[in-house]
Amino acid sequence: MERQAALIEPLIPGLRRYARAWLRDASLADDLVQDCLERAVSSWRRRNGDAMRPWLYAILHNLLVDHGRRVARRGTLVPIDAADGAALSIAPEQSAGIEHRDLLRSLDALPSDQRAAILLVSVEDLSYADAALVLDIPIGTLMSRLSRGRDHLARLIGAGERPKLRRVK
Amino acid sequence: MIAPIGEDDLMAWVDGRLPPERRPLVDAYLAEHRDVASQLRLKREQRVALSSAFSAVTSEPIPSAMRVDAIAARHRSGPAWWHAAAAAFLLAVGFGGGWGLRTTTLPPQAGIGALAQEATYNYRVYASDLQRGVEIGPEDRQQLISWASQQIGSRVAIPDLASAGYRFAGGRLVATPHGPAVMFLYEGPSNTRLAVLSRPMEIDKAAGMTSGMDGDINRISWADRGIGFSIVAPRSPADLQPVADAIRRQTLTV
Repeated sequence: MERQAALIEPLIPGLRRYARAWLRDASLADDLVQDCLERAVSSWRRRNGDAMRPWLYAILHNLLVDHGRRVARRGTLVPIDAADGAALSIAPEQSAGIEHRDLLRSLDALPSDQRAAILLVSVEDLSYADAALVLDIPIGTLMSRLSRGRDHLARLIGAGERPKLRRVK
Repeated sequence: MIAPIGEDDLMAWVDGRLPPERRPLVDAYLAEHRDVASQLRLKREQRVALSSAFSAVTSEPIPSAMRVDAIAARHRSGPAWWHAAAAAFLLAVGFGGGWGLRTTTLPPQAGIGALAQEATYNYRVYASDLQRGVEIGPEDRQQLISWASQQIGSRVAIPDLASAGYRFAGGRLVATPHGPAVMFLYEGPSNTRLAVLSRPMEIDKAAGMTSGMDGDINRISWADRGIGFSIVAPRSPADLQPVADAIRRQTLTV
């Protein structure tokens, strides 16, 4: 059982990052990560040798999707403009030519399946095979979601503030 | 046979995951297609921007509640902690949700409406079993009167409903959101139970009779001189009205 901690804990920072990228609300995101960890521990025996990383991300991803459905049903979404600021982690040197707010706003405007593919691959750096496992889709579907999502994101960012975007290194 | 360039090659180029054997091919393709190449460079830049936009959280210390050994210990020691937390959460949700809905769906919180609701709740709990439903039986009227008067801070009298066919069966104190109330229980024709609930009123100190129903139970409520009354029984309003009139007459002439 000590092995559990050694296998799960190194992945917690990434799980928190994934949840926070979805929700932008740090404490809500941590609540869902906590829920994810509780479920992981309680269903440990049913893991059946699945690889740890995609297994954990899949639990969290499903919690995030469920949460999104509940919120959508209630019809109370936190406006992006109210959520960013304190809730967002703005790394100082991140905007290499891309305006931070533009980026996040465009990300939020993506359909959630494209956003998930992008976040899992670009931010969490999951392999294509692992990202496909998390989303429970064939790898070909993942690649096309990733490709469409990146096209879409580029268009959305481009539609924002073009001059800033064009400052390519 | 060399496989043609696919979108998976381009995505792998963006992610820096191109297998070495595909790299020369993709590079040659991009050299020919400058527009695709600039699009891909943009996407690679966006990838970097995204991953650094969310990187800050990974350097935060993880909350101690996320320590896996602690979670595992809780799960080993049984579900008590988790259930308690879940129960607290559900209570909070229930309370919060209920509070949010209070003006639309909940019964009135004060005044005659609230009094009638309290009478109905208590009737449902206590009237079904007269032996256990009363704290002080009909043989100890004086004790009941002095105790109840002291508790609710107002002189109470036990209405005599014999003329309406109801025999006094005892009484008790009940809790309401507005403090203690006294409830008298009566037994009528064909085992019908009737309850009279009475307490001081903060608002609606004087209010005319209003009737209402809750399922099979009808009730009539009113207030005089700062004391509210509500009578409750599974009888028609027409049957209840003379009882209500009798009580009102008696209390006003005390």
